[in-house]
Amino acid sequence: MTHRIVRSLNFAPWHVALLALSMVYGLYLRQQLQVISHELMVPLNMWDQILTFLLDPYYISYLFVPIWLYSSCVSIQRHFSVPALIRLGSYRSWLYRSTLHALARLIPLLLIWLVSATVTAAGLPLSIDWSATSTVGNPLNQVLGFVSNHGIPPLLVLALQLMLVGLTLLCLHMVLALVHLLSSKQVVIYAAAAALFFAQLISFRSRIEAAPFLDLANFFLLHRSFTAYDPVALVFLPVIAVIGLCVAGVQYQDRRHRSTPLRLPGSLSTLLYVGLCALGLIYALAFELRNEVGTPTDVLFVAFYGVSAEGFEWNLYLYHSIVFLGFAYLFLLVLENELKARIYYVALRHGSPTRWFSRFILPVAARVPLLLGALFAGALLIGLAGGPSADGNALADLRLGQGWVLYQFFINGTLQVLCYILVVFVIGWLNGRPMAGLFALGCLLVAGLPAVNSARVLPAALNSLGYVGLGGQELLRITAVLSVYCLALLLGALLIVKSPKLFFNERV
Amino acid sequence: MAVIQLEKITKSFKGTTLFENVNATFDAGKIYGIVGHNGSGKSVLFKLICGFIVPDSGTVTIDPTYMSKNRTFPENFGVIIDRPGYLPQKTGLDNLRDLARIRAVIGDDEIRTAMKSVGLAPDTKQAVRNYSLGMKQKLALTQAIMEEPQVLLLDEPFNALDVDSVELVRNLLASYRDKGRTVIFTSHNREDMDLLADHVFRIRANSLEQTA
Ligand SMILES: Nc1ncnc2c1ncn2[C@@H]1O[C@H](COP(=O)(O)OP(=O)(O)O)[C@@H](O)[C@H]1O
Ligand SMILES: [Mg+2]
Repeated sequence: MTHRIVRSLNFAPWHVALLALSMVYGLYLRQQLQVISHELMVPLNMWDQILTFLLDPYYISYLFVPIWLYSSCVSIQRHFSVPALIRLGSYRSWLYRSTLHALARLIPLLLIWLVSATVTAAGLPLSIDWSATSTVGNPLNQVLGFVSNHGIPPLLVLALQLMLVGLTLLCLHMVLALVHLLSSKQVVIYAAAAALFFAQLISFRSRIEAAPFLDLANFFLLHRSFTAYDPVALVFLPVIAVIGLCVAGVQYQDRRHRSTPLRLPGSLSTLLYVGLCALGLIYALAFELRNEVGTPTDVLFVAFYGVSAEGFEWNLYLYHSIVFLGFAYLFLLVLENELKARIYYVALRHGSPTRWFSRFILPVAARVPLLLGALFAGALLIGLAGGPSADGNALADLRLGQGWVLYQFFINGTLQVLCYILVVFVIGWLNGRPMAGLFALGCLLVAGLPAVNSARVLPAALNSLGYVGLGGQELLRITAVLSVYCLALLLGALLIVKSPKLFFNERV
Repeated sequence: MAVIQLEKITKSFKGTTLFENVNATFDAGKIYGIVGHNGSGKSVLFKLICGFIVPDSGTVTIDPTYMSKNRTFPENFGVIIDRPGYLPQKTGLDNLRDLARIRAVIGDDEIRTAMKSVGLAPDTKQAVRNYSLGMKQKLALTQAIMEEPQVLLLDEPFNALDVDSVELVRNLLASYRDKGRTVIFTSHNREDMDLLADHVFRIRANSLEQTA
């Protein structure tokens, strides 16, 4: 069996496109190296090109990882079926087989990477040692300067890097496989993949020094591993540990359920969501206490700061997204369930699609102010637990000049979440698959970044308390923007729901 | 007036034609059986009648008694379409309650009675996800009949039912006819057709032929 799968390493047409793209990127890197070498007037050798390419964060995090995560999702879903499980006999062997399939996918990708790195190095002097350029440690070429200082020959760096990336990717595949096994819902695996993608993007940008094992980039880039782990070989430990956990999880699953997959209860996502919300508030309190200004509204302010016109801190934005986009994600799960399970029976009883839509969306919309109220109460409670503020009157600041904070939090908050929900609905419905709604959420996540949304006209993260600093006028403008979006989306939703072609025909 | 009238219905999906110029009339007080091999379009026919799918051309006319002005889908129809129809994490009773609440013409008592009439125990705490195939089928049946509809559209109602339940459901459908209601069902079982159907339609070569 093993042989057959690994022998089936086939090159797909898109591999050619990837190769071409990699070559172009390799040539671009080569050009940059040549500029450096020219400026420093020291010679290059082939390792400069090969290792610069193999340690390039952009290539890995924007191209390699997304391709990998996506193809893993597709492959896992294709190979996960009752007939396949029956033949394999256990979840464990399914996981092994799925990992073998992943290996068969991985090898061509690594080859393409290695080949384009080597080919674009053509013409540079062959050597088994570091070049003069790489040992100079100039600011433009920190990576190689750093790596070459560790007394490891370049060939070993190459081998370690490929091993590390390969193992990490297989590990991510196993994590996704386990997620699929536990949830067996399409959106959940794609959501997990998207979360991993964003986690590694964030990690490439900023280090998490306190917890190197949470810092994904450490497992993709050897020079990052060198800073986080000493000796560097220790970097393999967390990866292997996660693989071990996946296997253990699957084995546990095998023991508990012989025939049907264990499905997480539907309420688990909600539970997780509530837990994350609470955790964020506590974190905000801790953050405030460190700054010794912890009043209840400060906790609210920090927790829902989100982004501001000047920029963003990823942990604040992450929490903001978890809370508000997370709510839209829960809505997506409900929508998927509704569409898959019983739409015909519900719609028939309502009598018309519009009536179905209004009865479906109104309770959800009504929950939005409730959610905000609960978050507000939670922030106050947790803030009170942190003790009164310096002036001894915990609630004083609520009465004084905090009006706009409350306005932004409740009014624009409600409109913003409604926008999210409607976007998910419209995109998911037009596409006929809730998966598309998830894609929309990803786009909104990016659209909320202040750099992207500098004019504040995209309906994303506009309820950030960070925008309160812009003044009441601006907050009112945001309200207007969000209202326009909400109305337009509502109209769009009504139109597509009414259209019989789109409502059921060939879609649901 | 006929309860359901199909006139010159044509429907195809991405190049494959299922129906071409189909005409059919379904009258009150009768049981109609629909037969046809797998993939011939029996389920699509039901969805066309309900308005879940629009025909490429032709019209589906529903007796106005069941089709007031502001409706897209007919009223007082009980249907089983080839879709599950329940949220797997809830119990059978809760699922039915959800559906009953929409029209609010029946309460818990009627739901329980309907469940018992097809042989389901109303108060099991089991989530539907853990139901057997036959139990799910009974749940679908209960859903269709619980509001005492005037018209029943049942896509393969006898699937996965045990012998006793088949008997139960056959009697139920017969009693519907005796009350002057209309039943349209599909089945792959000759016996069901012979015993129950007043008229049988066969889907063959993109058209609907009345064979009995
Ligand atoms: N929404 C749809 N989109 C595309 N093809 C469909 C759709 N619904 C049904 N079909 C196709 O129409 C044919 C008839 O389906 P169906 O009515 O379910 O068959 P059956 O007679 O077995 O119930 C099948 O080939 C099916 O693939
Ligand atoms: Mg069918």
